[in-house]
Amino acid sequence: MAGEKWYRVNKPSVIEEVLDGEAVIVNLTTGSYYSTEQSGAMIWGLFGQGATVPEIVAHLRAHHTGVPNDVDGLVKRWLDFLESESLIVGEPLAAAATQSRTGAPTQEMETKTPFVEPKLEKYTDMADLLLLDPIHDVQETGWPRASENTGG
Amino acid sequence: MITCPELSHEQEVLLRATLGHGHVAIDAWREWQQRFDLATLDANGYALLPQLYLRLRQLDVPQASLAKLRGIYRHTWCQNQVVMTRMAGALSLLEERGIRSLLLDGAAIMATRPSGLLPLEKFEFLVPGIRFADATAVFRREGWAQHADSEGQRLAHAISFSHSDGTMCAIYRSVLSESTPSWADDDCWRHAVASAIQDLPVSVLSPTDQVLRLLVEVGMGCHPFTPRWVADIWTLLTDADGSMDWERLRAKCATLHLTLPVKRSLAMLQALSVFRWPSELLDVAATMGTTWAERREDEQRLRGPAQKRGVASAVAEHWCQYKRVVGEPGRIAGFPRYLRETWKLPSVWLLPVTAMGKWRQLVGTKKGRTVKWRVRSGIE
Repeated sequence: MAGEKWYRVNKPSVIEEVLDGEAVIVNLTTGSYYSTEQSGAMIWGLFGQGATVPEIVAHLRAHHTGVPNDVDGLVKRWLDFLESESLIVGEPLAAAATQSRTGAPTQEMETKTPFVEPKLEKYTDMADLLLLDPIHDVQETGWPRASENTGG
Repeated sequence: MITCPELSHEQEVLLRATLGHGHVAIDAWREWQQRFDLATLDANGYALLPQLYLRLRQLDVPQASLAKLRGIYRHTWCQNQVVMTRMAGALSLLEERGIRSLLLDGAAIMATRPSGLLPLEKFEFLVPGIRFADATAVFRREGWAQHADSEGQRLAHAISFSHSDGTMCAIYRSVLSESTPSWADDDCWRHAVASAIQDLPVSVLSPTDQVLRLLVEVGMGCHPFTPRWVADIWTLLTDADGSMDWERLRAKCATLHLTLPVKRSLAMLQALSVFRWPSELLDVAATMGTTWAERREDEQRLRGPAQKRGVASAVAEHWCQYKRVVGEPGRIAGFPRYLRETWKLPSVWLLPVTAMGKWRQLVGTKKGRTVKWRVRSGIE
């Protein structure tokens, strides 16, 4: 457990919502917009419960098939990346002992889905993004993906 | 089929898809997809789309067909976060100066629901009437620009501001209108609901007062009848979970002499019979009595201020205003004193003379030709 961390969303600078397996994240300080789906959204959702890396790994194994052997390293790199974007804050687990931390549930699921490596879509200028008309200026997949002719 | 003359067929179908139960919503969504096009939807219809998305995903409509709606929801959520961040900052400033605030309208609905439910074009809130000038001064000092159209409305019950980043807000001194008494607002403060906006604790207008405000605003013609308005009332009623205080709503309408605007709004909602409105809502219309004085005041209000008033309308208007100020039960003995204060007279004994003068003025203006003839012929 030595040196182990737990992670929390960097509030109030960062606001987020998980809807239909997609985490939408906005960093109000930098004005960047992020989106992540599948395992990325799942890991993101676990921060709300104050999960540690071993708990996140156990959760991924319980919910997915084909989880790679070095998933610990993969999760750590993913968390480091989110931390470098100032989206999450890592704190020593000892400091969290007195805080409310429920951890991640790790019970086995009956139907597992294939593991997909987490990916983060990033848009650096939210002000520009908000000017995009979400009906006329976007691809069929919807806002914030701009259609070709809008230069996005 | 809905029959509400205020809505276009496209808006009606969209409302059914957004608010309807089960297959009603799904059938309406299919009909809308076949007959109409997102690309040509007007702003009133657009305002329903985030809520439509939340409804259709609840009904397990395939996600692939909802991609654009999902994008609209995301866009609304994101835009609202910007507004709410600005709002949290502004309300904190007021709180630091000891000015409490109560969220109204869209901000009040959003405070307890998903943040992308509706496009929050501006945030509106009430401050205690006595701190209204302080609150607006804080906004001016912080660089918010007062809207030109509210310059001439300094005495009206709200002032609008906009920030350089485009965020807009409106500060209210009273929930319903300038002429409502302070007890009506005290009642709103007393029943306020605690919530949070981006971790900032806020007070929100109770569902009962939100519904009353929506009904009165449209019934008095201060706000247009839009699909968003219908959806907001529906959302408030269906989410209220027993917190609607129908008796308080009814009593407040009667005491404030606002039964007619509320009945007008309710009649429009009743026309949308495909929605299962709570029976209590419809009972309100059926069981609320309207006084003669309110009827006269309402007629005058609908005619507009440019139209000349009759003596009966003038008395009715003063009586209704007096009753609002004193609340229920209104004491007739206090009416002369109220008139003395309104007309700025030194003594109540001057009331008959002043009333006679005003009456002559009214008759003279209304029937000018007759009076002139009488003067010429020596009758007066």
